[in-house]
Amino acid sequence: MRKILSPRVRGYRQDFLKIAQVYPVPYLTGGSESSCVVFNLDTMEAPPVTMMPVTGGTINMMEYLLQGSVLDHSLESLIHRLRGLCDNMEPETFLDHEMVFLLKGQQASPFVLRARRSMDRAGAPWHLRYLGQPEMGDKNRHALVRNCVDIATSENLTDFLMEMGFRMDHEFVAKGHLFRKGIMKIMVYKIFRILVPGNTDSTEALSLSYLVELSVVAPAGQDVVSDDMKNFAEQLKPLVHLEKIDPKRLM
Amino acid sequence: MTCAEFSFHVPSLEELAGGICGKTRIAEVGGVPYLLPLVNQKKVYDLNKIAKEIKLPGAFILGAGAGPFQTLGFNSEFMPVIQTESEHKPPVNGSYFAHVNPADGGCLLEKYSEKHHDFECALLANLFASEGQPGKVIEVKAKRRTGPLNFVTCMRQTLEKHYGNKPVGMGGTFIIQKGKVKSHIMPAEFSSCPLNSDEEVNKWLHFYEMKAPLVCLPVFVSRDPNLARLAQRIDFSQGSGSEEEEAAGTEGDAQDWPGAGSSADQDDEEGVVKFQPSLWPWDSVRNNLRSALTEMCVLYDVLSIVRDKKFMTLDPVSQDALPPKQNPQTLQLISKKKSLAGAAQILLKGAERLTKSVTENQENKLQRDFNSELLRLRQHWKLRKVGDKILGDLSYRSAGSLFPHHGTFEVIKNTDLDLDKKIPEDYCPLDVQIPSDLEGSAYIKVSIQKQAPDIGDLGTVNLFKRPLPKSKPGSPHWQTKLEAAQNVLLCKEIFAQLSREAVQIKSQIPHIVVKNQIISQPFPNLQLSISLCHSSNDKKSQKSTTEKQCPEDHLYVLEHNLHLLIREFHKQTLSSIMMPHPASAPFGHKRMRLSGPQAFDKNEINSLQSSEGLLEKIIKQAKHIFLRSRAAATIDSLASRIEDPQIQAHWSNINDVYESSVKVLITSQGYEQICKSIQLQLNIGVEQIRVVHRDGRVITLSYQEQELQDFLLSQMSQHQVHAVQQLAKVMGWQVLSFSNHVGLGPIESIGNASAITVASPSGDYAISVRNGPESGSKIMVQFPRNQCKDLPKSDVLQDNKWSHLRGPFKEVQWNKMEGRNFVYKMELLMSALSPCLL
Repeated sequence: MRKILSPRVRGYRQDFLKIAQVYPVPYLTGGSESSCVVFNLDTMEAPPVTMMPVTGGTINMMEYLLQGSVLDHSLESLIHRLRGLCDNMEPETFLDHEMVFLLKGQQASPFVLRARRSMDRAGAPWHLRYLGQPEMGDKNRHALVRNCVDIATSENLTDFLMEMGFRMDHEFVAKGHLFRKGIMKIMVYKIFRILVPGNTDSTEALSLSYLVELSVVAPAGQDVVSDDMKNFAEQLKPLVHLEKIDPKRLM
Repeated sequence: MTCAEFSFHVPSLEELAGGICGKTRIAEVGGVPYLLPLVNQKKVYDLNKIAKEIKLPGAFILGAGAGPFQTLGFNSEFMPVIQTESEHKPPVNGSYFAHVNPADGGCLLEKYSEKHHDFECALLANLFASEGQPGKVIEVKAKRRTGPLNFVTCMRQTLEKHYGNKPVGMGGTFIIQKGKVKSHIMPAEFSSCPLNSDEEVNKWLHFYEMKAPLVCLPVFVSRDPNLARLAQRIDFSQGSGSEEEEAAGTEGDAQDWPGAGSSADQDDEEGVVKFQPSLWPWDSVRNNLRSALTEMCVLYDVLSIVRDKKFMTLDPVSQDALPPKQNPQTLQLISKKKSLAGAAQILLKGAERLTKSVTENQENKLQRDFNSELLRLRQHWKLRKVGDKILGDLSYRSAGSLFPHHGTFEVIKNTDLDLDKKIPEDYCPLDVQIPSDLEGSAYIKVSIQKQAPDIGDLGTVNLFKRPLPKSKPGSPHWQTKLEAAQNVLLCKEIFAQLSREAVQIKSQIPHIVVKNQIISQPFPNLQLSISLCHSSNDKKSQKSTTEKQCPEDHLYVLEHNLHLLIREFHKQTLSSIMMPHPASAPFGHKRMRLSGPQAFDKNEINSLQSSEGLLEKIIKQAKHIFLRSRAAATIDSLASRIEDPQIQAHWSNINDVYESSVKVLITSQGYEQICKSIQLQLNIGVEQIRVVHRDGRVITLSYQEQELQDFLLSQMSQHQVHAVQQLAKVMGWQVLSFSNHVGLGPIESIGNASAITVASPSGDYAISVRNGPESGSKIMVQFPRNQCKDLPKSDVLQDNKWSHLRGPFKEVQWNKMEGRNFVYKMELLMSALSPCLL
């Protein structure tokens, strides 16, 4: 696969991938990757291996993703462009705190869940997210695809996860801008390292650039959305080059 | 001071060249004209060859110049420090070059020999060449800058002052030890457009502030030896040799002009002395020009005097030699002048006519140009180019509409114009083609009818044509056309939305959608019809509609509200989509996402999803409007029917679409001050009327008008009794009993009768009033026993004191009482009974 990394992108990506690395699905032995594993929270046991794909609802959703990055000084022009391209609404900023939890089982690869909360909006629910193994796909699909399960939860999520045997692997603060165009979500944000664990007040920027993510959450098999994403990404050139980036290659 | 003490920054060369002395030379290679205004890329030089040219092979050369673009591939500044090749020594290149860093635009200084191994330079170079021997040099120390001139210029001027006409060259090196220097670097690319002014050159150059220490390699000459020589060589004496009258201009007479060489020493009258005048190379030129000017002035004066013919005339001089020579010339000149003037006049006339027609054309074009029209269209409407067509968008999609109609129109060039005929007034080169289903005019008609029409009438709403809105003066006709089409589209969207909802909503009485009409029954026996009236511009429809022009019961408020509602609906679709927080969460309503964590029950979740449709809202509004108008009618009819007591209704001006309120006062004429018993606040809602009594009681009435009427009637009857109570207080009478709802006597069909009994201050008389909403009022007066003649003598009450007891009641024939209303009659009655106690 052809992939060109401009030098200004490369440094950021490696940093980012330490955090945004997505681990493969455990408990999935030999099944197709596209089928979804439901983690049974009630029984606190490893769910039975299921070969049947779960259909319907919010379970069998896929996240289509394109990524890129811009340097700090060109953020403003990118924001300007996005405001022109995206749906006509007031630009929103966000400030989120994300914690990544691991559950180590017998298998070599641990089970990862991401808990995220908004730091600037009071009353917003916490967000628990499971992300599956990313698939690069072929040339016809223009975006990275991974399984995803999104659940809104109450704020005592961390205690609950700890009780279940998860332990926190790392945490970070993401701060940036949020846009949408139809079902596409565009996040332009910077990742901050948390200096003192648990204290989100003292943070330090991880790099001198902003991460740009274009994502769509759609039911599985709707690869058509990746065409729209590609068209949109084309319109953002040359401010930012959004590409499907295989995290495995950067490990 | 010997040169050995100088330390060069190129150590390898230091070994080769012990100094900068021995057969010193200055070589000016190329020049600025090869760089500006446009570059001459043929001008490339080899320094080894230059050394041979100046008869100093093996010379040690330093200086400044332009970098060899032919080898480097880009333009740069060049600082040659070179030991050229000779028989005994190999050439050594210690040169530097400075260029603009393509990566960040900074200044980059690099050693030339690290990249290339030739000895070339280009375009221009100021070189100082020597054998490289140690010897005597001059050291110049400068502490700081004192004037506008730079260091090199100062040195040059000092030399010039000292040596005057004699050109003296100087070369070497100096070091800037402290401070900053602003210096330019030529950009890597030559300018592609000619650089004609200093400003343009300065724009082209890149300027940098450089910090000390800097080693500089200046080479300069006190004065250009060529310049003075060339200036003096300009020959002013080569005139055409003609007469003064011919006004031959600057090159005129030269006989008495001083020689160019001798003029150099002449002093000016003006005395503009900057340097010694003789040092200035252009001095002789200036003097010559000045004297030419003087001559010209004299010539001009003479000519003007001659033209006046007062003081001087010109007569042909009777010289023999000259006239034959002059006359043919002058004649020729005059005839030439004349013919030229004739030709010029014709040309001027033609030019004038041409410019006139050109400006006219331009004016016409400005007004009627297709492109300018397109520009104006573009300011108001969304346009895009598809293939060779220009398509526009008149849909409300960008405002949030979800109506599937594409709403595109096409912009076409209006070419069906006969060029021979006169252009019509309203001709516009631009025309728009609207989809056929959006043509004409449309509106939504809302009406409420009492009687349900026959089923045969359904769906045949009279389409009567309204004249198309006249275009505003100044606005092009496409604007009105597009606006009308957009209106049609919006009406269609409203109707489509309404009919979709009408089918979907389950109501007790189903809504009927037939053709272009939606019929719903908000109240029994009442029919709300919403219809889409769309009249195209066909002649057929025009004919059929003109017959049925009759005023209809439009509810304009509701029609307007429908438009408002659809806009609101649009806005909702735009704004309902909220951004998720935290950002990774999926899109969706925040409350929906909260429903899980906060354990919403089914009702709560249902309430999140249900949203009131357009039809429901408009039906509610219609209900309210109907209820309000009926309440108003009821109150008005009561007020006109019943004079005593009076009803006053105060409607509030500021209403909600679903609620309005009215204040109802029941008073008696002339007694408004004392009888303020009944004040009602009627809140008219969608389905019911809530009545708030003055004392805080709340009564809810249904939409039936009879209920309101009955209620008001009972309130009026109560008012009369209340009024008596108030009056008694004023008159000093005592209230013996009072009841709003009397349980005795005949039963009223509406409400209850109320009653009051008051006793006169002395206690002799008592008046009892009973007032019912239906039965009316009944007034009885009780007399003391002694006044009753017909009372049979009782055996028990024989004592005289018993005669003061009150006797039986007697009814007053109320309709025979004088007085304009009930309360007044009551007052008269009371006052008639009161004097008895005095």
